[in-house]
Amino acid sequence: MRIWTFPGGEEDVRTDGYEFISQNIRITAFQLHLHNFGTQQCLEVIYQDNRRQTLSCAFWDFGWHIAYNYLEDVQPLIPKGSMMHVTSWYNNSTSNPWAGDSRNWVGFGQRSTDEMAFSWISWYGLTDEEFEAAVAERQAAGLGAGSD
Amino acid sequence: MVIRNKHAMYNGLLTLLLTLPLTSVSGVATAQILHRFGQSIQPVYEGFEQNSDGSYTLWFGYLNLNFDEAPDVELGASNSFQLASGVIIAGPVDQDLILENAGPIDRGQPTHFYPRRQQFVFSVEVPSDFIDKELIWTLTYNGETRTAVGSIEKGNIWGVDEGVWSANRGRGTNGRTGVAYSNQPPALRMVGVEGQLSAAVGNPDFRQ
Repeated sequence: MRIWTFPGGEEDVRTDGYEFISQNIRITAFQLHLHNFGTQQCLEVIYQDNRRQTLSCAFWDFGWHIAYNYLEDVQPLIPKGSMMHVTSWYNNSTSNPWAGDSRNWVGFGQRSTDEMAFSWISWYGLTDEEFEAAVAERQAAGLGAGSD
Repeated sequence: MVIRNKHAMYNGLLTLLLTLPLTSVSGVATAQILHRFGQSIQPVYEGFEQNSDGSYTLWFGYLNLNFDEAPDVELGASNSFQLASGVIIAGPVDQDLILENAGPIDRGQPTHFYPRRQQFVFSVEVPSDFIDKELIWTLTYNGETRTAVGSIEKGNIWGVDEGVWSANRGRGTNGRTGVAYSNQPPALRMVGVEGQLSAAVGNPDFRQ
């Protein structure tokens, strides 16, 4: 159910999306996927105790579809039961050179001149034992718990 | 931690589709508040295509911002087409920009509006000399006036071909059957460099 609406002339529009994580995971890469009107996106985890932690934020330029690969020692370790939260921002005004005709409304569609709000996230699952070992390894390295 | 196997990695490609309703956001316009009733209708310009005789077909659709309310908006000031020149901003059109010979307000637009997004609902044909003009569909409902600005400018944005049609409407029932379409690879040419190019490992500069 896509209910986004990006009115013509609007300079700062936000969308939010959520995905429940049912298993322990290790995230290896983050790639935002927006279209001509996107400006930036942030990836956040909401833990079961309602703590929130921003994992990454990146500006968006439609000319560059960049995958951001995490270094191994900072790859986010997300415990099962968490919620991923992705926030995206858009600019459908003349201040955005990619927004070719800000006189008009824009919504979801397949064209570059329509919009999307995806986050491509590469990850693999961990057993409880593997997850605990990975967290312990982070703590031993003085890099924090890794999952918070 | 070692990736256990490729299969696990590929299965681990997670796509987060951001389509869920969100909580309210302060400071910025929000794109995702869900309303069952009480909202207006956004007319939408879908794009244009040139016909074999040189004329153009302009496509329009709409987004009824309500999830349940399906209103009727009769033809007239609240549901009309106007011809203008020099429109540069969204919203109600400056009356000074309206051309004298605006043509009929009835261009085949709907008067009953189903909930949510309805793409490529109807089309309007304009002549081949429709240059520097805008065909504007204005809808006023629930106290709000919204517009769609149709023109034949910016073909890179608004050009509609079978690829656009197929991607957004599919083929078959919702698509345009009987129209041949196959995607074509792009053709690339480097200005000033003709003929076959070669590069070697460790020496990627083909000019050497």
